[in-house]
Amino acid sequence: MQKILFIDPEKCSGCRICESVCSLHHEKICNPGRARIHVVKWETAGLYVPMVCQQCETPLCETVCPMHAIKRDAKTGAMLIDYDLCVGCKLCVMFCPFGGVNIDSKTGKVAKCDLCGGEPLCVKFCDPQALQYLNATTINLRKRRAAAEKFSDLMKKLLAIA
Amino acid sequence: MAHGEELMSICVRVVLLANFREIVGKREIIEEIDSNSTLGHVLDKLAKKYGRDFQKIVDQKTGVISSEFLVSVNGRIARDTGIKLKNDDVLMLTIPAGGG
Amino acid sequence: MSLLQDQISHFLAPSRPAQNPWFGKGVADETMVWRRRIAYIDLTTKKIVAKPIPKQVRQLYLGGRGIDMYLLYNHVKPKVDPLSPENMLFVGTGLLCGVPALGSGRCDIAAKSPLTGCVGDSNIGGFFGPELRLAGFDHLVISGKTEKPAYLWISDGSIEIRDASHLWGKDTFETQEMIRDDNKDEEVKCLAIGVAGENLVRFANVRSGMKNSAGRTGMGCVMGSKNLKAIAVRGTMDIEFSHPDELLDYCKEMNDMIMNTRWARAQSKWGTLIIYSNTNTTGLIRTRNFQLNRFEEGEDLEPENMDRYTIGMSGCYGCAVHCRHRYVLRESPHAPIFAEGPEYTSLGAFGTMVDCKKMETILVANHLVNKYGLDTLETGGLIAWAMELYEKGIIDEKDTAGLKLEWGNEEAIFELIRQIAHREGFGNLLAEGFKTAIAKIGKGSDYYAIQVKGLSNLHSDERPTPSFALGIATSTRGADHLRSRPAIDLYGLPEKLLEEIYGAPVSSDYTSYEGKSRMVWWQELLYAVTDAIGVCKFQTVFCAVHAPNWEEFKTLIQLATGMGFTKAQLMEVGERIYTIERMFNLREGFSRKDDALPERYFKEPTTIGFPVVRGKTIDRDRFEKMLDEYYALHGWDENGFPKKETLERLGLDKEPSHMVREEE
Repeated sequence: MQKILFIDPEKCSGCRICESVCSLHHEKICNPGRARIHVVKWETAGLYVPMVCQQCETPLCETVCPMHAIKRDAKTGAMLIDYDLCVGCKLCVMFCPFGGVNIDSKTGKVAKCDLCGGEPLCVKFCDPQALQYLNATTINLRKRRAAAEKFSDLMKKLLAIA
Repeated sequence: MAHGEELMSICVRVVLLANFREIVGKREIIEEIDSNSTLGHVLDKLAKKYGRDFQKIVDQKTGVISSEFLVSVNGRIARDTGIKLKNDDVLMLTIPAGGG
Repeated sequence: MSLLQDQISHFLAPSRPAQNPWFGKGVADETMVWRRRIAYIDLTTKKIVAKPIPKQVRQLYLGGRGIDMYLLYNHVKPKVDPLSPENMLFVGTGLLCGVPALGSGRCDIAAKSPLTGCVGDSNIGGFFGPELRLAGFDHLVISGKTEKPAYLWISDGSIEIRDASHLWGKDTFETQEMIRDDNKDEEVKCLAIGVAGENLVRFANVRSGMKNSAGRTGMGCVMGSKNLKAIAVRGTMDIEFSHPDELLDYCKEMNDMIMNTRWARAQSKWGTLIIYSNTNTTGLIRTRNFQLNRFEEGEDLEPENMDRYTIGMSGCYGCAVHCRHRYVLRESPHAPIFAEGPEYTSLGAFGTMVDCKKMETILVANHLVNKYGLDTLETGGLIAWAMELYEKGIIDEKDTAGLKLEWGNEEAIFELIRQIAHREGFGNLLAEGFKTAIAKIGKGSDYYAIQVKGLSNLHSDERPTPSFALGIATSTRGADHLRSRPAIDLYGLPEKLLEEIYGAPVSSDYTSYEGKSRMVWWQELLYAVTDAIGVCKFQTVFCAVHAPNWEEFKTLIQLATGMGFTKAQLMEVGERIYTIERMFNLREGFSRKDDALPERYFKEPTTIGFPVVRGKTIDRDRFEKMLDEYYALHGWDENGFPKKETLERLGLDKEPSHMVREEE
């Protein structure tokens, strides 16, 4: 099955390499403001949350688009904007609950994560693995294992296992 | 004091830092070894006991200490595993780190 | 007129006021990389002028510290009072700022140092540099002084001087928050001073984010002397590179290269605290100021003991290593504290040097110095010195206004930090730094001061390591471990490899003097270029022998800017930067006698640690011989003055303000 770009905010170091490589790859310049992913930070609380299109199963952007310009890519499952149809009405920007669609400050067009055609660069560059590109089963198992590890530490103490 | 062929055992202190400390769970261990042991013998013993990074300390191809790790004997950095050890020698196993 | 003079007169000629240079359709031509500006801001007249940075200056000095030093030398006249409006503050992003690799968002801040009177310069990570570049500016030159507290507001292509009266008195965290609130933008990045800078503490620093600092040499004091509370920037324009696709691929290679080293892996987990495990176990750590060379009871300061406080690791812009702890202190009398850090330096400043055994002491003190905007190293170094004076009876409770400066007294340390920042009590004297404090106290107090040229040394004990000792004696900003610290000297690398790296034989024994002058010279050139391109030293040969250095820098510069350099040419840029710093210092009256070590290095042998580091002093004759070799490598004469042929080779002979030796 198709892979999912999955976010683990606890691991995010806030380095913003994802934003730089996204804009460098898509726009050939470096400008975090024009990247399709953004790390939202609460610096004084040490909380960093990467925000990007969630490639919803029932995308609101697809539903509201009057030009039917947002369509699912068969290979990656990403929702892609067809720029031949897009008129820049920005209803997708308005309705996405995640802020997943950008208005590009330079071109005025809308832009969103396209999973880089199946090899998302942000994931490739993310050393702490706050961004991962995995299939659903793997995600589920990893999350459960991470939680179980916390339990296992507690259990070791309770059962006095060395 | 025995001479000649009789082997006595000696003790060396091994200070474990960074990843080595993580693996063993202790900062320092005492290793009892034969009195004519070399650094290589101790590292071999530790590799068998703890595995993992301990097995990578000696570069299999060259037979010297890998530059990935830092091993010192009484503070002197060791490359050659043939160094003879004495009683109460202190080994330090760590990674190269010295910035600032 | 030489090419250089051409460029200087271009720089100095008045130009149109700052305008947004980017609106309009940007055509991808070969000049696109060069559209970034330098802005001259006169706080007295309020005049602001922006100009392009001539490509030739880039070729000679690259950016960051390189261009800053060039500007410092040419704009700040000799013998200027560092606290006067005639001193100038230079802020420069590295040449590679914005590249998503090697922590390339670093920014250099320079001025004449109010602490030492020589080159003042400090490097800051975090996110300010990239934001400044996104706003269209690479360099700022700030002169004069405002009558009332002000901050600079920089946004896409434009600069304003704004009122900061409501920010004056606020700590470095509040200042940044208030500026973000005022401008209703959470993405604003700031350089800010705390109360220490406002009170002209000579080693006040410049801060950004939760802990990023341009720590050394008192750059915050210079800002305070100009009534400049902060520089705030918000940039939304593009950063262009000449070969974006190849650059992207190469960045991946670079990040993988560094993350494949054991060092980077350890640092990403334990930060710079991992260094302490090695150096303290060996016996290379100043303890009780300088009385011992290992902190015997310092095991709580080892990085594993940080785990119980750490909630995550943060990274600076473009950095895969993420070496900054984010920590929470919940159960101390000073809790709750959420902060970032501490660094290896703070372990020494508030741990080993002052005989405080608990990690918590450092976690509190680290937060305090960040809040007030004080150089952690200088603060710790001065307090440790004061404690030794107190122990020896050279100062007493009358001098300290009741503060009991006993070894390990953490409450006294916290109180003294507060006093220094606010210039109260005994803190007011320490706030002046070593030179003035030594002069005021007298009574042989200078013997105990571990400083060079007025700048405190790190908590490192260099008696067993001649290369490190030479490095702190010759550093152009005073006793400083970042100008040259050849950390790989501690790794016992094969001599064949060392010869390959350094170009001539260097002993693999860290207690040897052989070849170490060459090591120091080579490292000085590398770090000058590192600071000029704005990448993080921790991702270079500073830490790991197979980490990026000349070849990788060459390629990055080529792919980001299109400029071609051979390794030899890059080394020459390093020489040029270092020599012009030397020229600045010579012009201010420094000379060979200031390239010295505290007497204790020669007189008092080390006593503990591993056998190989015990009983060590620096041998005076061999030190002087290293210094001779070091000067020769730089192309300087036996007094440390650049020779005529060196100046000609580096293109420094026709500077309009070229230093002239009095004898000539």
